[in-house]
Amino acid sequence: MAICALRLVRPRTIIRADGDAAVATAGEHARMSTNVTHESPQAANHAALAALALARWRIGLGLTAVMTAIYVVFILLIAYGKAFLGTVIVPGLSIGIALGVLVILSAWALILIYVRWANAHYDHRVAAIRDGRVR
Amino acid sequence: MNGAAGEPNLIAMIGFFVFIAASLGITWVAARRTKTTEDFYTAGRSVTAWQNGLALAGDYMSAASFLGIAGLVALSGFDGLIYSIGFLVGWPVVLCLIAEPLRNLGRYTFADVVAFRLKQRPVRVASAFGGLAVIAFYLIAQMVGAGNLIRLLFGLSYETAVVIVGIVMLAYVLFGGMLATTWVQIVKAVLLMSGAALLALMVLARYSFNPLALFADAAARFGPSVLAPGRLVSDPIDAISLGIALMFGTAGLPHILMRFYTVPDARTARVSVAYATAAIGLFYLFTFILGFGAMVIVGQDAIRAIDAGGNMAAPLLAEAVGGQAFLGFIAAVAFATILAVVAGLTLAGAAALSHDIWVNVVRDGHADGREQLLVARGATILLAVVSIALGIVFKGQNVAYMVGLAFAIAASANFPALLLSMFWKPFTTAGAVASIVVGTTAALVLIYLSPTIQVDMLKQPSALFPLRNPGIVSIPLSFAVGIVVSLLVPEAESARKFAATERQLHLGEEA
Repeated sequence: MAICALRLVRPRTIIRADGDAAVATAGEHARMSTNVTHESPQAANHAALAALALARWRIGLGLTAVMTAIYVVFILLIAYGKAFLGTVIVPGLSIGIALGVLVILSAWALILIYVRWANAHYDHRVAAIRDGRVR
Repeated sequence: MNGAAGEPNLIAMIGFFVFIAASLGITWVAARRTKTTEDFYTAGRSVTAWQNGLALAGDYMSAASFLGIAGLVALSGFDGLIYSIGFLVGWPVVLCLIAEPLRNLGRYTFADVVAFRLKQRPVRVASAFGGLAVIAFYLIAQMVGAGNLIRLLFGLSYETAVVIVGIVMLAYVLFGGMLATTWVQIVKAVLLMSGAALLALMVLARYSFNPLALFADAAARFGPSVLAPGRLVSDPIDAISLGIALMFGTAGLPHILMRFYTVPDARTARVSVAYATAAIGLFYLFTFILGFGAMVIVGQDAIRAIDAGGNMAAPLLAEAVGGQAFLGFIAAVAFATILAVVAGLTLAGAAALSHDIWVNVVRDGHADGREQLLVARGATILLAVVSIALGIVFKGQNVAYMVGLAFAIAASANFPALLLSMFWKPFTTAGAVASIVVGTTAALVLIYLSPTIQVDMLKQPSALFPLRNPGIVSIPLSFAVGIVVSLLVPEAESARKFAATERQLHLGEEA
C-alpha cells in the first residue's frame, strides 16, 4: 500500500523531515502528507527503506547466484568434462582456456552491472531517504 | 643456464633494499600523521577509491598468486589456471553482499558488524578467535614463502630470512599503521602489475604478441594435455569444495574486510572493489602468459630442479628473458608482495586483539585513544614475534596449501556470521557464537583429518575425512548451526534492533 503510493506520487519538491517526524509541527505534517503520501513521513520512510533493502538484497543475491552458477559449472566441467575442455578450437586455444578467460570476464561484467545499478539507482534512493525526501 | 638461485644476486639485493628503503620512507612520513586510533586502523578514513582499489589488490595478490600460480601453470598447464580463476570469483560476492554494509556498520574490524545488534563480549571473543585463526594460517604461508625466496635468491639462511621479513613488517605497521600499510600496498600493487606486465610482454615478444602462438608452442612441446584439465583436480567433490572455499573465503578475510573502513563512504567502498577486481583479474590473465612462458622458455625440468613446487618459475623466466638485472627486479617485486601482505595481515590481527579483545572485552569499551593505540602497538609486536616463530616452525610447508586452508577457515568462520548478522532478522548472539566457533573448529578438525595431513604428512594408510578441502561441509554447517541455534534461543533485543541496523546498513551513520 505505502509502496504503491510512493511509486505513484513522485513530487520533485524536497521536503525536510529533519529526522524525527514525531516532533514535526501539525502544519508541517499536513504539508508533507498532501505532497508526498497519506502515510506519515516516518512510515513512508520505513517503507521506502524496506523496499530499498529488498531491492539491494535481490540484486546482490541474484548476481552472487549467477557468479556461483558460472563457477560451479566451470568446476563441474573440469571434473567431468575433461575431454570437452581439452578440445582445441584453433591451435593454442582449447575450450578450457577460452572458458577460463570467459569466467574472469564474467566476474568483471557482474561487478560492472552492480556498480552501474548502485551508482544510478541505489545512491539516489539512499540520499532521498536520508534527506527525508521520499519518492 | 643459470647460477643465480641459491647464490647472492647483487641487483636483486639492490632492488630489495631500494624497495625497503622507499617503503620505510613512506612509513616515516605516515608515522608523523598517525596520531589517533582512527589514523592507526583506518588511515583517518581518507583513502580514495582508486587508492583503496590498488591497496585491496595489493593485500590480495600474495606470494601464492605470483609465485605459486605461475609455478603451477608452468608444471601442470591448464590446472594451474583453476586457482587464478578461483581467486577472482570471490570478488563479486564481496561487492554485492559485503563491502557497502561493512563500511556503514563497522569501525575497525568485521566483529563490529557481527556485534552491531548482538551482545558485544561473546561475539567479539568468537570473532577474534575465527579471525586470528585465518590470519595465523595466512601469515605462516607468507613467512614460509618469504623465507624460501630469500634463501634461494640471496643465499641467506631460511631462519635469517624469516626474521628479516618479520622485523621490516613490524616497522611498517608499528610506526606507520594503516596509512603506511595502505601506501606500501599501493606501491607493491603497481610494482607487481607492471613487473608481471613487462615480463608477459617480453615473453609475448617472442611470439609476435600472440598468446595463442605461445599456448600452441607449449602444446607442441609438452603435449596437448597441457591445455586440458589433468591430474591436479581429480576428485570432483573435492574440486567443488575447494572452489566454494576460494569463492566465499575472500568475503571472510579479516585484512581484506578491514580495508573497507579506510574509505569515507559506501560509494567509495563499492567503486574501490571494481578497481581492485579489474587489477586482480588483469594480473591473473598475466599469469596465463607467465606460466606457459616459463613452461616453454625455462622448461619444466629446469624449474623443478630449482624447486619441486615450481615456486621459482616466474623469477627463472625473468632471468631467461631479461637477464640478471630483470631477475633482480622481479625478485624485489616478489619480496615487496610478501612484505606488504604480511603487513596487512598483522594490522588486521592487531585490530582483533586490541580493539575486539582488549578495548571491548577486557576494558568494556572504556579505553581512551592513547591506551588503544598503545595496546594496538603491543599487539603488533606480539604478532610479529609469533609469526616469526610460526614461520620457522612451519618451514617446508606448501605455501598454496596453507593459503587454501586460510580461505576455507575464513569462509566457514567469518562469512556466515557476517552475512546472517546483516540480513537475517532472527539472528542471535548464541547463533553467531555457535556459527563462528563451529565453523572454525569444523574447518580445522576436517583439515586435520584430511588426506593431506593424515596420509601425506602423518603417513597413515587412510584418512577419516576423504576431502582435502573442508569447505563443502564446514561452510553449510556453519550456516545451519547459526540458523538453528538462533531459532532455538531467540533474542528479543537483537530482533528489536534489526530496523536500526538495516537503516544504518543502507544510510550510513547519521548525525
